[in-house]
Amino acid sequence: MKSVIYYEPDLDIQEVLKLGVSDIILSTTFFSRFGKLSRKQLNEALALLNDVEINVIFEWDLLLTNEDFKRCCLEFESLDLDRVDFFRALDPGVFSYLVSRNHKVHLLLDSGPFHNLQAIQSFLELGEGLVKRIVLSIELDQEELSVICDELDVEIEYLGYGQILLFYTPRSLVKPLYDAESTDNWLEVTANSEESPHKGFPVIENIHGTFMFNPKDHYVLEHVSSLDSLGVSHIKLDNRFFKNSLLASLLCEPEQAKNDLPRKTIRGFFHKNKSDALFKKLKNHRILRRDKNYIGQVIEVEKGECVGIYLRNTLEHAKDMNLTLITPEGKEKSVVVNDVRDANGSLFKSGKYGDIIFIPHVGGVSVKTNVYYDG
Amino acid sequence: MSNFTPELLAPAGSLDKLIIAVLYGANAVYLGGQKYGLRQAAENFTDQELEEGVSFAHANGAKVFVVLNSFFHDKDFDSLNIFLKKLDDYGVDAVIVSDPGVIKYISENSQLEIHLSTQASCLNVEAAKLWKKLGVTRVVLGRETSIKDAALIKKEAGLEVEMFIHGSMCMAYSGHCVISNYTQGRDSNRGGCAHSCRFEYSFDDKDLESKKSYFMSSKDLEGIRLLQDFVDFEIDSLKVEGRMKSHLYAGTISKVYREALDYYDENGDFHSDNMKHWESELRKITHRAYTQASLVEPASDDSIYDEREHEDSLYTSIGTIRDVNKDAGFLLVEVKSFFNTGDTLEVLPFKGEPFEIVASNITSVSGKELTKTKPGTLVKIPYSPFATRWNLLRKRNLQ
Ligand code: SF4
Repeated sequence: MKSVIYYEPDLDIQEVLKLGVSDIILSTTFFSRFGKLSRKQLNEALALLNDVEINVIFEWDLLLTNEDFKRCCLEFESLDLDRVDFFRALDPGVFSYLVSRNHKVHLLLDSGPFHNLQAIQSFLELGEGLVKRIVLSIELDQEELSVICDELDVEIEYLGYGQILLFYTPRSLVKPLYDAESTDNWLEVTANSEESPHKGFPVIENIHGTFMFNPKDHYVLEHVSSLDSLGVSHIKLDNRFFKNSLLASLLCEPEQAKNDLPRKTIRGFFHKNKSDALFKKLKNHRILRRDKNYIGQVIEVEKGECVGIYLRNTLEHAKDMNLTLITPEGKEKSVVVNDVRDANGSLFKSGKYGDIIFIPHVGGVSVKTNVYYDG
Repeated sequence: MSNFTPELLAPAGSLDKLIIAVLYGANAVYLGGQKYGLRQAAENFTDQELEEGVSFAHANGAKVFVVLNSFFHDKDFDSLNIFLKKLDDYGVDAVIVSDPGVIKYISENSQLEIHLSTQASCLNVEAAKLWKKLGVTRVVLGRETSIKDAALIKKEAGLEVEMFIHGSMCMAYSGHCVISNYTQGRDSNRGGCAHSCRFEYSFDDKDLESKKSYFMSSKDLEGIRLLQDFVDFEIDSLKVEGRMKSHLYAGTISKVYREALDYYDENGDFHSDNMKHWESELRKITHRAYTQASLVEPASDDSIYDEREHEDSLYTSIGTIRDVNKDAGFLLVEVKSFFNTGDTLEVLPFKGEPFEIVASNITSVSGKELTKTKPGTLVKIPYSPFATRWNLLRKRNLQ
């Protein structure tokens, strides 16, 4: 398994090479959400890496409105990036721009919403052979990773250790709280939600917006051999958020290194992603209608008098009807109805969507009961 | 004066809301089926309701767009083909999609027109061109886009553009908030958002003063004052958020924006005393504080809604008129909020000024006299010659 880390000015490149790191990412203040390299530091890094046998990756992971996009392109075109081997993009516009300039691209899907094979294949087709690596979403579980890796013919990268980005906005949300006390372009705070037990969310605000992270970091380094067998070719360590001195132990003794980390860690969705399992509970399925033989829903119950049914279907013969009524609690009642009236009390013969009909009172039936026609 | 008038696209959280939105003037509605959308907790449309919705809308000159804007995992594609076939058969006018995999699947398996959902956060010309290559004919732009940028995207990418003009907003770039995924185990990009951005957060870092704030909560968008810009820049469609909102919301929003756009059609501008009236009507529906957000310039901190989640409203939604019987002299009202005998209610007609009626006498369906009503019931109140079926009723709140 090859490893990918970020370049930092205090990084000992020779040590990094000894650790077997294959790729190094340049993350700048202007093009990266959490980049700290100035233009001068970028040039120094490029010069330093000129004769080093390592893949150099330029990160451009911003989402950009049109104005910002144009500004970024101008800046990009003014850089001397000959030493860069690959460029990584999150915004489909940036992706397209890089492809149109014939750059070799890494597509960033790690913190974005695209999770399926067909989506990735669409980008590969649009990439005209220039997409060399996909940085997969950390919301994919092992099973999904395996399917995707099997099908793709490009390098696959996955986050081994790093912060989990939960929220990305271009707006300044924290500085206003401090009445712009801080003139820094980089503000870090910890947010605690009133919704228990969610505490300790790291928040960063910088020139690109406000970012909130999960209190626990993503850590799957002890599963590198599984990842390898699934087909992941590269594992990333986001050393912008931990001390570089931890790199050696993280890469060589991942089980043990876990004890020295600045914050608690989780495997996230790596074993199983069940984040759609709760959806069934969000609705009362008993009040959901079945289409077959559906007439409508009870809209009024006047005890001892009548039940009002809101027709949500055509009713051709409102006479001698066998009806099944299913209450919101799931109770079923079957009734034969001979007397169907309108709101004025006149006999009702047939009706259409939107009409309201009244039948004699049926005990145990409440509003939202679904009504089905059995003949 | 340009001959161009944008489409007014309203939310339809249910078939009743669809009917109301169309009758009050929406040119098009968007809705979700039982699967594949981002409102898992919503009622949503069954297949039969969808078919009925399309035929009602088409009979009244309106279009229907169906949202399939969930971001799919591979297993979510199961049975998508069957659903697409139904949408094709029902004559749905377009589908609104976020995921490139789903776009690819739809273009390979159906004739449906594809609109890119705002969830895909399309923000620039290059991105729009890419989506066009995938088969998209319209982009619903990210909410961070200005009207000016939208016009440029339309021109340079050669696509129709749709923008939100009204309603609640995510503070995050759409599709780039996964708070619920990690805190609730519910995928926000598949409809499980728990609205964690509306909670209060405290900050007690050692180097900074302790603070409490709803720092991620956004005010609601209101773009009525920018209608002239939307027209001048030829924004194809103006979208209102709010499939989960009330019947009164669906009706009021459709009515107000329809009247404003019709005024433009007749007069060539929006310089009308009515502007104040339209704004005041929008204040009568439940809403958070309003902002123009990023429609003109990048949103600043004044778009933060730093308050506990509540929605202001000058009026209460009383219900819907479900039947009108001139001979027997009554209006049949489906009651949403209680009212008393003698209360003055306002009827919102499909066109023209709201007018007052007095509930001088309330009876149950069987004719029993009532002094007050209960939500979730049907009652009769005195007939009014100007009220029609599906008109909405509201009541001014005591200040
Ligand atoms: S929590 Fe808020 S910002 Fe995040 S997806 Fe939900 S509504 Fe949008």
